This record gives sequence, structure tokens and C-alpha cells, in this order.
Amino acid sequence: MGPRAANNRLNDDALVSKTREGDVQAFEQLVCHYQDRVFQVCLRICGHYESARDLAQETFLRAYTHIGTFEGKCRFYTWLFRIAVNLSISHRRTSLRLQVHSFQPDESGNDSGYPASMAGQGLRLNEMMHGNNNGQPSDIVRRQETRAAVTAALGELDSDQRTILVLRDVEGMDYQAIAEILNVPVGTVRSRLHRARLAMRELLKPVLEKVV
Amino acid sequence: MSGDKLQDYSELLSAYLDNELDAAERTRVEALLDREPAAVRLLSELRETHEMLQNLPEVSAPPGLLEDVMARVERQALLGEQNDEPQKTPVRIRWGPIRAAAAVIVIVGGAGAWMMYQSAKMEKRIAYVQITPLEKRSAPESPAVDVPEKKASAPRAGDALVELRPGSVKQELETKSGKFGAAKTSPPADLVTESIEEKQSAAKEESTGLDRMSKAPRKSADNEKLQQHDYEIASEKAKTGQTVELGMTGRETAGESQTEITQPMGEEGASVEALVQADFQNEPVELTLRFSNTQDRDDFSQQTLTYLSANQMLNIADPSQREQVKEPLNQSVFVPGSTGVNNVDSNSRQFLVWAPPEELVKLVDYSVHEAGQLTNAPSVSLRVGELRTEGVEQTRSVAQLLEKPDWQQQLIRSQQVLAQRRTAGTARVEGGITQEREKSASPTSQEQGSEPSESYSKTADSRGAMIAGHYRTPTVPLSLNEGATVQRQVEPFSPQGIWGQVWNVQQELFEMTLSASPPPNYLPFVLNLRVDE
Repeated sequence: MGPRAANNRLNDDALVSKTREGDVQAFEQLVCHYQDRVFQVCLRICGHYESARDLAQETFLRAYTHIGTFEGKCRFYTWLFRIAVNLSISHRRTSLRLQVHSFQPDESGNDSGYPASMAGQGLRLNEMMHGNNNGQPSDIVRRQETRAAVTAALGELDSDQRTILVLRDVEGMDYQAIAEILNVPVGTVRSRLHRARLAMRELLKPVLEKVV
Repeated sequence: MSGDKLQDYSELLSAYLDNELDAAERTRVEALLDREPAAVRLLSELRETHEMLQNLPEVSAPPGLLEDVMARVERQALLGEQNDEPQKTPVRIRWGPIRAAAAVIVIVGGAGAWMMYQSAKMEKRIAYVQITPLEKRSAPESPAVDVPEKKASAPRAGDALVELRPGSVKQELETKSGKFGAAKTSPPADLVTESIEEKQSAAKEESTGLDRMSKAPRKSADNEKLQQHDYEIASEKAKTGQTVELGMTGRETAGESQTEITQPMGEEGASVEALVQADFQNEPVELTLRFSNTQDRDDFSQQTLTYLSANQMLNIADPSQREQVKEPLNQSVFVPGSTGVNNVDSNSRQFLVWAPPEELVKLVDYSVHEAGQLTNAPSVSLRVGELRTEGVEQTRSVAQLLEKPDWQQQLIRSQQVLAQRRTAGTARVEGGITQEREKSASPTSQEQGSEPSESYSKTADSRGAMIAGHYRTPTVPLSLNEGATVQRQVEPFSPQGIWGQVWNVQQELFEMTLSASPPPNYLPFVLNLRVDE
């Protein structure tokens, strides 16, 4: 754990303690600090912007409600992410059952990336216009397609694989943290992650070939 | 190396990529990489996959998430609910289920709808959307000034009110006769009586142009009455045929104090998904966004333009670009409307797009959600089944199109003309606006010994002015009216002014724009971008 992480942990611990004592402002600081990451994890796992908003909100609410049960054996953010991940996976399963998952490419094979852009996953048009894209429509479209393909491929994976890829490759967490969040041994993280990457590689083969 | 062996090692490769190996494992993997090209290849592919995921843009939490969380936390804190049983995860009901709910409502009638409404837990915000399905235009009506009525009028057949409640567990749909079937809802009689004054108050505000709920704080903490109040106002608007803005309105209750909330759509923008998936696939659509400032409007306008281009909803004129188009070019027509040129209401900008229904749905979807990403998100209203303008001046191009009694036939005819021209190879692609400022010596003035006058030669088309002149995106080749070029001398001292004359040129070009008529079944979509400062 680096000094910054250690410092964060101290801060988190102090804020958690204050929250337990009824200091709502302390909890607000925690929310403020983690809202982006929690939302992103929810979004990447459940694949739906508005649901991710609900899930992030519910994550924090549950964290607040159950903060008394947080024993401090792991880092607060690990505990928080565990809630977020569990809620998101659960929601995703429900959504799939209801067939309302709306950010997948449609049956006609549309991979324009548009839904992804809505969710902030694709290339925002603002970025197209002002970002480092040389302003070439072909580049814009290509990049948009790539991101859309990645997002769509993520959606194709099963929940376990998707979650582990999100935690590792999108969130950049180390294996130990992922193991704590998923409550599995580190060895399982390693093998599951590898399988997920192989699956992802297969799904992205057309894109990879195009890039090459 | 055998496949099995690589398989044995491949997990290590993945961990190697993540720098999660101990020293011994690392040494083994590096030795493997030194001697096995297949391992190097696999590592490279894993790395590429990893980088693709890593390169997904970071997503920020939606605006207002913190506030919403804290509102609920504070409520819990006040009520001493900490450590209660976990709440059920909210599952947002989407359009499909809403429609299913609508069917149920239709069956059981208003009482059922009201009970559903009552059963929903009030959230601090509430959004109302009115979708007004009208008969598809068989014959165009005059689009002449059609200012939205502020006074109450009789309900219009086909009105439907969709009520979205972002962040809440339930969304309900109230329908009256029309698209979603016939049902009539009514609140309990005693509550109706109780809220008449409030309704009148709300109606009064609406009549003064305030499209929002009463600002007067209410002392009652009775949530049911508050819900009912919101409900009645929305119902009243629906009954009077008013478009209820898709903005957030509601009130926040903290203890005894209540704060009225009105805010433009924004943080809940994505919840409008249900709206944009509405069944307007066979009807024209008009989407109006009201921005708080010109910059936002212009930025959004620019984004929309790019979106249209990226999605090939504009004809792409450059042959090199055409090669990249997989499908036959959509014949969508893009008409930028008034751009502050000779325009009574320069705060408005209007796009007219012809598109296949599915693309149109995407465009609406895109517009609503992108708007929701803005810091000062605009309010949004959607009309379905009718293209209405609020004033000829601000929407001249569209208005001119629609006021033609046989506009559809005209489009078809001119499409045929264009096809002939293409076949004959005479169609040309022109774009952009050029302005040549020449000092030409007028013989007359020279004879009279006067100074040479300046004359302006302008080449403009109604799309080119937008692209090249305003947006400076010359690398996006677009064509609205292939072969349409009009050159006119522009008199510098004309009472119309220079831009007034350019506008006239644009109007001429617009006539030619009709040549880019849509294929059958394409639908018109009007996007109004307004600034309400």
C-alpha cells in the first residue's frame, strides 16, 4: 500500500467512524469521494446508465444503513465495491430475465456505438469535435465503433467474467482487492480473469484484426 | 510448443501482463516469451484486449447523485432508520413494462391507475412527459403561426400523459382516449375538492407562462396530498392539451420544511429512455430543447450535426467518403433552419431531418441523452404526430416546406428529378458559403466621378452556410441539395441588409432542397434548439 493509499485509508477510517457516530457530513465526503468509481462499476456491469444511477444510489444507501456492520477488516472501498458489485450483478440477472437490457446492439447488428455514447461509454460527440481525433470522420467512426464493440463484447460475457474485467481492466484494481471484493481466493481471480480475457479476445477478434 | 503447454502458461501470461507474478513465475514466463513466438502473440493479444478495456472513457457519476444519496441518507438519519433491513434494489421499469402497465390500466380503468399511483413511494422529484399522439398527417395543415395555447382548452383526443418518476420504483402511465387506449383516472373526490385552489393557482401560473408548479411552500407534510397535487397539475395540463415539460419538478421534504424544486432535465436525463422508446415510429416527431444559454445551444447544435454526419443521416457528398458507407446512402434531408439570419427570433435554431424511423428514434434518444449531459441541461419537450411551429419567422424553412399543400408529392417529384440528373451525370455537389468581396468599378458611378462601390458575390446553400460558415467543419463533406447552387449579387445597401439577402438565397436553395426528397416511409423530424435566457 503506497503512502497515498494509506492516507486514503486513514481518511476513510476516520470518516467511517464519524458516520457511525451520526455525522452525516462525514458520510457525504465518502460519497463524494467514491461516487464516480461506484457509478462506473455499476454502469459497466449492469450496462445501463439509468439503472447504474439507481444502483450507485442504492449502494451508498446500503453502505450507510449497514455501516455499523462494517468491521474494518478490509478497506472501506473494498466493502463499498462489494455492495456495488453484488447489487449490479443481481440487477443484471434480473434485467436479462426481463429482457430489457437496452444497451446491447440490436438484432440487426447495429454497432454504431450510439447507445454506448449515451452511457458515456462511447465516443462523446463533444470529444469527437474537440478531442484528439484530428477531426477526421473516418477516425471518429472507427473509434466509436471500437468502443461500441468493446462495450458490446463486455455485455456478451457472463456476469462473473464481466465483473472481473471491469474491476481489473477498467478500474485497475489489483488481484488482492478484487479477491476481497468478490470474496474469492487470489488464485481464482487470476484464472477467472484470464478466462474472461480469452473470451473477450474472441469476441473482439474482428476489431483486433481491423486494428492490425 | 504444444497447445496444451501454451494453455498451461497462458494464465501466467495474463498475470504477467498485470504484474501479478512472483519472481520465479516471472522468470519462467520471460523465458517462455524468449523462445515461443506463440506466447508472444498471445501476450500481445491479451495486451490489446486489456488496453481496449482500459481505454474506455472514464464515466463520471451523473449530476445530482450525491444530492440524491444524501437526501435519502438524511431522511434515514432523521427517521433513525440506520441499520434497518436493506431496501429492495430499485429496478427502473422500462417502456415495455410501462406499456404493459398501460394495458392493465386501460383494462381496469382509472381507479386502477389511481391506486397504482397511490401505491408508489414519492420521490423528491417528479417528471412529467406528455406525448401527444395525433393522427398522422394525411394532408398537411398550414403551419402558420401556431403559438401554444396558454389558456385552458378542451381535451384533445389522443392525448396521453406519461409520468416518469426518476429514482423511484414505479412509473405509471395515465392514458385517456387515444393511442394507449381509453382510460380515465381520477383522484379520490375529497382530495379533488381539497386541491381545487391549488389547481387554480397552478392554472394561473401557467397562464402567466410559468410552466411549473406553485412556488408557495405548503405547510402540510402529508405526502399523499403532495403527490396528489403534483398529479393533478400534470393531469390538468394533459386535459388542456398542454405540453408538459420534461423537466424535474417536485418538492423536497425535510422535516417540516419543504422546498419547491424545479430544474431542467439533466441528471435524470437518462430516465427519459422510456420516453424515447415510445412508439412514435410511424409519426413525425418534433423535439424541442430549451437551453439556458447560447453557448450550450451552439455546442449541442454542433454535436448534433456531427452525430448526423457520423450516422450517415446526411448525404455524404465526397466520393471518397461514400466508399466507407456500407449501406446505400440514406436520403435524409438536413435543413438547418434559421440561424439568426433575418430572423425575428434569433434564439432559435431548427433542424429538419428525414430519416428512417429507426434512425429517427436513435436521434431522439441521442438528443435527449446528450442534452442531459450538459451542466445546465435544457428542458425537453417532445411532440409526436405533428410538426408544429411557434412562428413562421423562426422556422421559415420548415414552415415553407409544410405550408405547401402537396409537400409530400413535391418531394417525390423532385426526387425523381434528382434521380434523372444523377443518371445524366449532371448533378453537382456544391457546399459551403463563399463570400467574395470585390471592389468593382461601376461604370455609372465612374462616369459620375464617384468612388467605386463594393459588391458582394455570395454562393450559399442552406446547408453549406451552416457547415462552412458557422461551424467551420469543412472536413465533413455534406450534401443536402446536390447540384443546387445559386449565385446572386448582393446589394450592400439593400434595406434587407446583406444577410437578409443571403437568407433569400438560402430560401431559393431550400426550394431546390426539395430535390433531396426522402424515400417512401421516411419520416420528418424537427429538432428545435431554443435559448430561453
